[in-house]
Amino acid sequence: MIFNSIAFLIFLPIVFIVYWSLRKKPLLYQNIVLLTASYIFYGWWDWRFLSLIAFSTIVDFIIGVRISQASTNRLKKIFLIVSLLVNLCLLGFFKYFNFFIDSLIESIGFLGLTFDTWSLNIILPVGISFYTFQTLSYSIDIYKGKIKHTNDFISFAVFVSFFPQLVAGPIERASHLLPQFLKKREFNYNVAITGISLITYGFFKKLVIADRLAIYVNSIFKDIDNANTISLILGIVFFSFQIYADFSGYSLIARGISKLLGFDLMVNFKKPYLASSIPDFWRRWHISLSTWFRDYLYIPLGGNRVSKIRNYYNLIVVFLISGLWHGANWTFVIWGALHGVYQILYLEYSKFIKPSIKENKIRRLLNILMVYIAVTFAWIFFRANSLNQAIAYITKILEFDFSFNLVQVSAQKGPLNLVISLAVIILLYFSYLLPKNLGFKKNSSHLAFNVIMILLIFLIGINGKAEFIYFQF
Amino acid sequence: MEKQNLYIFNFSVFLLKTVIIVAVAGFSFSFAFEKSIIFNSQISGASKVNRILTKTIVDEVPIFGSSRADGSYVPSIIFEKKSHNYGISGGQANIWLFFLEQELKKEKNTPILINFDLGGFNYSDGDIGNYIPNWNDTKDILVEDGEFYFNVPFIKYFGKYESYFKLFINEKFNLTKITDNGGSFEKNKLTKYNFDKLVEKRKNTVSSFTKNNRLLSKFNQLINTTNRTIILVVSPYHSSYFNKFKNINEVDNYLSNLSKKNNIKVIDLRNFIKNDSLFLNTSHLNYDGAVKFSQKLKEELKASKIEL
Repeated sequence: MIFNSIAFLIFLPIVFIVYWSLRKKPLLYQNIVLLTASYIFYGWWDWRFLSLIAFSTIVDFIIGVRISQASTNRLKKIFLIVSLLVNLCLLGFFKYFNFFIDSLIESIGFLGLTFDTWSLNIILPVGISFYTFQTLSYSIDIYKGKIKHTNDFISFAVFVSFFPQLVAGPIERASHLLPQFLKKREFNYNVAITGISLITYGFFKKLVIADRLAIYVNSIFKDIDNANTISLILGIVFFSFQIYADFSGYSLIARGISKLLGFDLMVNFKKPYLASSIPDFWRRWHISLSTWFRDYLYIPLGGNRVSKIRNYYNLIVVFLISGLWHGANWTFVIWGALHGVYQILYLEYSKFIKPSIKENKIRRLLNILMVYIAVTFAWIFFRANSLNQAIAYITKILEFDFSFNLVQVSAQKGPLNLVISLAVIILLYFSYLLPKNLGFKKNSSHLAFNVIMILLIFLIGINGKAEFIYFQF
Repeated sequence: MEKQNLYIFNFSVFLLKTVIIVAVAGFSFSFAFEKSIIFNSQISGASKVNRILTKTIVDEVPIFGSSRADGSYVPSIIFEKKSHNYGISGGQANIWLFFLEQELKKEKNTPILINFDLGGFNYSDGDIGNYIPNWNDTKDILVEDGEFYFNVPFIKYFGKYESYFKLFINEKFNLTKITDNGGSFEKNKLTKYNFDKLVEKRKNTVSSFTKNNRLLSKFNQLINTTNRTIILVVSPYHSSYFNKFKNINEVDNYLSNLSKKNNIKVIDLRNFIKNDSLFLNTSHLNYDGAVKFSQKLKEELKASKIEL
């Protein structure tokens, strides 16, 4: 089930009413409602995937208990390794099996040897990368002694499958989300209204901004040969905003729905295109994933408390794996590698900046622009279907064909679509003027905000039933 | 009242207020948009559907058909009297038969001009946005299923506002099209290279005349129950269109038999235009082509002494 579907429009109010009507009953009742709703939500795609999430839940629940109860550190470690192996093998099999087989066959082909090309027809279960990382954090945190295991299986099962953030995050830590399932929730009027505003803002970002920009972007990537430098640059600029609006829109809806049910999820995006350095960008973009990699991979590898070379190695490894996390394709690997290189270049560059030089507005603006250009260049690899397509895209940009042809510049989608595309990006920046986390002081402001968002969605939104981009990861 | 209950009550009031304000604002906007944009653009399919359903102009000669009618017949050139081009892009026989049926319900005596596609009697709706404003009157003729909200004001146009607005702008400013009494004609011309590519593609495309029995019997029923003159016109095709046409003899036989009926007149101009620069593609004319064809059609109508 996707958020922008009629089924979900019916599903959510039913869950909301049933859930809060049980507020006077024991906590277990509400958690069972959430678990049932989450499994219905997930099973809507393909009920067979439910067995996978149930298996992962049972394994990590048992391992969590065993790690806690283990008498020696060695035993704890063994249980942790079992958890890592089970989760990563599931992820590896479903997400990367065909990729590795195909890459292996290609590599062998370079040596002049041929093999029968075969691979299994494996369907990627929706959201597997997200919930796998969430359950892994549970096992690792228990092992490290950061949290205690839970004996409440239902609460743990809801923690793994909580439907608002199940398929595209934010990837929550057990230390933050799990305790919320273990205590009584109270309905709060102000929180619920903020939740509604987050939901409408999320839908606005998805249907008005992301899906609008997708029209131009898809047209350009479908026919690179007939594009010129102007339209190719516009295409990738539009994609940078498309993916931001698409993914942050999803996160907003997830946070909004959670607030309606009395839960608090972490903020996943903080105006990333206002970042003034690459590390700053990663403190603002997909925060739940970047902090996950920081805490569970970068720091255990030694982080920056090692030699310079080793630190750079750590950065490259983290970003390569981050790229691969997004998808089984070399394009994502290159995208990750580029960000790793950017980090290293920034560290080298920052040595030459004297701390005495104060950051004035113009310098900051230039930094923001430079970061944006670097990030947007890397998006070419992220968006391309193959390395060849990415190279063709860059090669074509470098032809420096700046001839103004309206059909080309509008990507054959008409000037009105181009004008609206540019307008929605401006609208996005205007929305930055809204209070942080939509914390309007007056309820009438929430009311006005929601009315405006809903009207805009119906007036200029795209009614295309397009899935969120991050579902594929 | 318990605090939690009060919160839930207040939340319900908030939701209700939001819905009411959205409904009032949305419905008002939708009403104004219909009047000033959708129905105020003669070239939009939606305004054509609305016009045939709601207006009776006694001396207006209607022109029905698909995009080939919409982009080829310049009403002000063909007829001295009032005329309107009701051609619907993407629509096939199921659509023009609906227009014909509505027209025959009116107390009028003018002839009716139908652009006859050599593809014959097929089903195709075109853009569903053409029918949303008059959903209840049109949904039964469509092949495509609509959405359940197509009767709800404001929401029914979700995702369609832009396309209506685009047509409105096109008509008011004639940016890429020239418009004339419902007809819209492409100003743009393809380069020789691009046109030749289309010709090559067309040469390898198999076309045929098909007769869907339900549509055919509906047509027969309509023409047999009216005394009004029905003029069937075959508008020009590029020569490449006939390269792999499977059953052209069947078309000729059908049209020949049809022309024997008293109130039916067939004008066949399929080969009238030879110059590539007058085509938009191999089955549609551009504005210059439409003007030339319309002038010829006017002469043909004069020669056939049909009382207009």
